[in-house]
Amino acid sequence: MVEKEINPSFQVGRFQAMGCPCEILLDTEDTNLLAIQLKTAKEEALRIEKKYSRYLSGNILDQINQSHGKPIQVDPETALILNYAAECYELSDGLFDITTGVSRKIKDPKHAGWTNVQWNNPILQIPVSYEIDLGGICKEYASDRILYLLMQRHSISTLVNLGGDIATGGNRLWSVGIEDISKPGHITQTVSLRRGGIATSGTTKRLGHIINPKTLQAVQDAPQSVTVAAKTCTEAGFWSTLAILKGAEAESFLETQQVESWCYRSAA
Amino acid sequence: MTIFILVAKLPKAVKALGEADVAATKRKLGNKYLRKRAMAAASTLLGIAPAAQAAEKITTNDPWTFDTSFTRYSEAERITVLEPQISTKRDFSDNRSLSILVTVDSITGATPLGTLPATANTAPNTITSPSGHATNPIVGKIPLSHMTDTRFAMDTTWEQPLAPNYSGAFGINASKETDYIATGINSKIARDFNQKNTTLSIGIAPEIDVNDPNGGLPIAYAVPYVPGSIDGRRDTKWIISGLLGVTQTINRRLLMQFNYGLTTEHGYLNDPYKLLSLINEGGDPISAIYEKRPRERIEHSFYWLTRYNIWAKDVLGLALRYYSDDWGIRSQTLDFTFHRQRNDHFYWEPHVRYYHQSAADFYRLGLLTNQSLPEFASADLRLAEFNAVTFGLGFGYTLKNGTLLIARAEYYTQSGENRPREAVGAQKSFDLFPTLHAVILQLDYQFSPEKLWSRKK
Repeated sequence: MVEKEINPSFQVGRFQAMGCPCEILLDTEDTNLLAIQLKTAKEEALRIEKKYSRYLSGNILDQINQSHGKPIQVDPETALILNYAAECYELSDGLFDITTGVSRKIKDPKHAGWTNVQWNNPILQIPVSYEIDLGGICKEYASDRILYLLMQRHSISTLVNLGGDIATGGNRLWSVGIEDISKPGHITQTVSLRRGGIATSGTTKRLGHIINPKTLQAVQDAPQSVTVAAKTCTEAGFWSTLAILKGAEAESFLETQQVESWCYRSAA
Repeated sequence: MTIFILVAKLPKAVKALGEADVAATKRKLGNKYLRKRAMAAASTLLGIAPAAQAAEKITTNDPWTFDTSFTRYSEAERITVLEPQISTKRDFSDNRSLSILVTVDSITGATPLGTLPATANTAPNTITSPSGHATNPIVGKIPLSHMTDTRFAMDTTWEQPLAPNYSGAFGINASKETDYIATGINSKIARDFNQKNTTLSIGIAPEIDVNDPNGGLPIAYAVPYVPGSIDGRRDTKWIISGLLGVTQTINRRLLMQFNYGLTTEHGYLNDPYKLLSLINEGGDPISAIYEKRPRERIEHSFYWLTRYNIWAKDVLGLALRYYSDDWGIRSQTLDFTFHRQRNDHFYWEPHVRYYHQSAADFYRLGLLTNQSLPEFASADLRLAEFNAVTFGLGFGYTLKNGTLLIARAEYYTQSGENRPREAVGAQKSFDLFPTLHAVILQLDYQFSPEKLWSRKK
């Protein structure tokens, strides 16, 4: 599904990928350019989705998860992502862990923990019955990647939005609405962004529990919604996810780290 | 139920007409916009459904009778309600009976939030959300909010004669949603005169509702999420409904009924999910605040029904209702049904209903940022002026085993002022009351176990 929308000041192209509505915004009047960029964006999104989806068999993620304890050699892109995941694990003191599935329940709590994973680029070896899930990284990564590709081809101001994970480049100032978690369809706040990334994480019944990989319990007292603006979408995603995992301390944590953020809790 | 039982002498059909609006609005549909829609569904249904039963109630010696139905109410681009319902009645000797009605409403879809459409100045370029499925507000389109809820309700009524010419009915009812609980009792006494050609009824029904909004109880006029915008978890609403009714058989063919209903509500009457836009002089919605309604409401309704038997079992029904409350809402309902009994087994029944209401005194499209806040304000479209028209057709078929199958379809439209005069700036060019279209489909099956099983042997 691709549709185009003409706006006096910019153009929007939409597509569906990674289970989400996606769009690119271009500071141009050239509809041909939009069509070209849209095609690139869509192809890249679908490429990454195909490569790292948990629901497809045969892809690299599936090979890793079906490795039964045997070492797997991964491609350079996957290696970069695993390096990043390892870094996140360190930075978050073990809270951000791709073996626990950031936003889903772990089937068996015994079979998780990045410390038990052997990662020596490019060889990955995960213990038997372990699984990794790149869902907490891929969408943000894809937004940044697509932005990079689009800007490389045509350096006009561009915004890439994959289901709320946003990457922007160029000189134009874009406005981004933050959805009201308790009133879907309503915008609580509009923030402006030039050259950077925005990501939002949340905890609602609909989204399922977020598991603290250390305690293996559902995170308590987390904000319902945390939106972060950072240099890149990937970075923003790291902070917003981590803030949720901090539970009641989310706001103070973000403040201490001097992260630009907007947190929402329904009950005062 | 409250009001239905007050006119127990009449066929259900008649009881439901018109008055059902009020009963349904209050009780089931409590506090949310969709409730209103469900109410519309319920009331239109009630307008016809029982009518069909009236003329063709299954007759049986079995003390048990059952009525099961499944209803689907569906609005274009908005909410869908699925409603399975089971009612059973156990007759005892001496005209005593026990009725139990169990209802489940499953509601999903989008309802208007109360806020005004984004303008080119206020609509963000794009949107972020945890779910990843948010859609950017469309310039000029009234904001809708997605929601889902399930309601469970049970009504129980005991009827019995009290003395010669006196009968009584006593009931309790309760319903529960994730954020709303209603519990009530009701009682009614009827007195027959003139060889039962005249019946006077009097009834009263107190009710307590507890509103427990998701995310806490918002403070009126507060900006959502600002610290201090939530005050506690729940608040209550007290409702007392009273009704006086006269039913008069004029002659063999003609029957009339007149009801007067008085309802007072007290307590939390806001809709905790509704917002109100604050706009600048250009019509740009700058922010939004929670609505504020009075904590009291007094409602009067006058209802007049005429049923005329043209011949045999063919019946014309015409109901008029006038409603008025101290919030400034006045409404008129005209409801017409024709029951055509084709033969012993089959009937069809067209239905037309017209409804108009005026706006509440404190209904506002939005509030201007540079003006002080009024004492009360709400942008809930249920409180706006609008017209509603329903066209429906029902078919009833008595099966060989004596059970009754009814199918109905209705088409409902609700329209208001698309471009109200009060609109400011950019809002003037937007459709601020998009016409609502809904389709209601219902299947209803009535049986008594005895008939059902004896045939099967």
